[in-house]
Amino acid sequence: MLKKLNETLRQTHLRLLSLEQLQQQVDAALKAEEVDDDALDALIAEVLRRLAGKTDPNDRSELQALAIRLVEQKLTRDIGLEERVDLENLAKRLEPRLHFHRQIVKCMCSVPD
Amino acid sequence: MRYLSRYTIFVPLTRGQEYILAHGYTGALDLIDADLAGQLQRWSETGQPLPLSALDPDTTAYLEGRGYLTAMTHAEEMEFLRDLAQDIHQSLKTAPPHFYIMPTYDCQLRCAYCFERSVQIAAQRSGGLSRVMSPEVINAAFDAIDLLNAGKRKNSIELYGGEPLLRENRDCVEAIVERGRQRGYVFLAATNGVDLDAYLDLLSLDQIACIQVPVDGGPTTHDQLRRRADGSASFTQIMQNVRRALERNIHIRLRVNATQEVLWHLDEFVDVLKEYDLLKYPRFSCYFKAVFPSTRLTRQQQVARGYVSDAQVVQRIAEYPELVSVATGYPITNSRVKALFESHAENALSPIHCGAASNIYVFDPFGAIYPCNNVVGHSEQAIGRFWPRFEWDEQMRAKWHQRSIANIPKCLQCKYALLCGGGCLYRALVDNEDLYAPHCDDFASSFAEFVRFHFERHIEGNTGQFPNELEEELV
Repeated sequence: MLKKLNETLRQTHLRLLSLEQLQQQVDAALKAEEVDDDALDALIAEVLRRLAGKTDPNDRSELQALAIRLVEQKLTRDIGLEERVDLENLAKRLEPRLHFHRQIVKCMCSVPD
Repeated sequence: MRYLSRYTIFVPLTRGQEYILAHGYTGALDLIDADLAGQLQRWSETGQPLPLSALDPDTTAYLEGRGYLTAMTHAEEMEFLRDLAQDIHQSLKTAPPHFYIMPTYDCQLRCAYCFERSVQIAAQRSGGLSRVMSPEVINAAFDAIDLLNAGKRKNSIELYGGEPLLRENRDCVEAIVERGRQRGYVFLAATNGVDLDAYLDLLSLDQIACIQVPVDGGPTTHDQLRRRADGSASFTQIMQNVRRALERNIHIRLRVNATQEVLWHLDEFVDVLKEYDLLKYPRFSCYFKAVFPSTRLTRQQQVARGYVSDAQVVQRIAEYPELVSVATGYPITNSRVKALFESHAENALSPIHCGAASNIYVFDPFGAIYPCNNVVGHSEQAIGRFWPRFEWDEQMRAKWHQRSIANIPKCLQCKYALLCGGGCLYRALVDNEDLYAPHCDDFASSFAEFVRFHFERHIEGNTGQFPNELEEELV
């Protein structure tokens, strides 16, 4: 007999996922009708954590692709645009307003401080 | 290849043949039968990978998804935990600070076990015991608060002592509360309740919104241990004042200091709750905390002197239906276990025991900043000063604020590490003279008792409404 009594720590849960499982989580989060901001932030944090560490070069491009999709969603929601943000274009146009965004842009586009 | 995680915890339930399986870094809680528990426990003792045929695929997948089975070796898991602990500690350091203001070290009681007594005696000899925070020092305290809390959400501020609400210090307390209110803070107070009648008009949800009053059980035990300086009893006056304060509609929590004798006389305490009709107030609650020695004692010495464990305390509370609805055991462990059952593992798993290792600042009447309310007056533990000028003792500040399970090797090997956070820093100092020694106490048995306690409530759908957020800040 096994009966689940609670949900686990999201931060740990994401760390324990394989890249494939993480991609599935990202797909699910981005397809969800009601976007969970906390879930989105946690996924971004996890993808950035993996990118900042020792990562297999093959995984790196996959992770960057995930990060772009997540960050586009995040910025679209934060800025309140109706259409999805084009990150590359946005990075050129926007002075990052928040530390969080600055970290993201630094990580993705190698923008100097 | 799959291993049983070294951070898997087995809690046998008292009823039936069931166990709660808990996990030390995912926060998972699962109910399992004794057969599966036995199987997993046998593997946990071997430390060997599980044979693939040992469990059916669905069970294997489930256990892996919850963290109990892992592809990591034990050594890799320890590294995983260290990394996770460092990240969580870093984020805790950016959380809004908790501030304590001590109007004075003075107190009208002479409790038998007071950990501040040596500090008070030294202060009396140097003529500083009756010192009350001056307006200049109060201003400096709020300048420091503004600096440390810039841009952050405002937590409440706790009034602490000595006794913060002495009748003769009313002007000082009023000035502190007023300055705090102007900045949008509400106050908590850890008061003995003796002079509370002099502060009734300051008790409201936008001034002093929550008070914690310690009692030593009912009058029989309380009046032996918590006597005034003149030797007279204090229980009746305190309870009358608690009633008056409850009429002000604020949060009141009794902290019941538990010793063997207090637990023996628990019936009397339950009678007191009824006699004073305290249970009818929705903002009333209480918690029991096992009294601990402020000097190093062996376990045998502690038992001989009537000290009890937090596990014993929770066991006793569970025997009283009247208490189960309003009382808990040690709040830190209680809150963490409760958070696990409520699927808020982010509030349950922490690499530090309490804010003393991240963001507690205690301002004393002499201008010193302490990291923990238990070390006030011990100037060698101060982490800085806020008056006459603001300055940190960077070495001491780092020593306190860097203490986490990530840098205590014994903790990294412990399955309870993120649930206990390495134990109380003050008690590590008292028992080992080393802040970086783990303080395990009876955490394993205490955790098991809390899990059983909350499991019973969980299945009954009675998770309780207390303590509320404000009360949880008051530990």
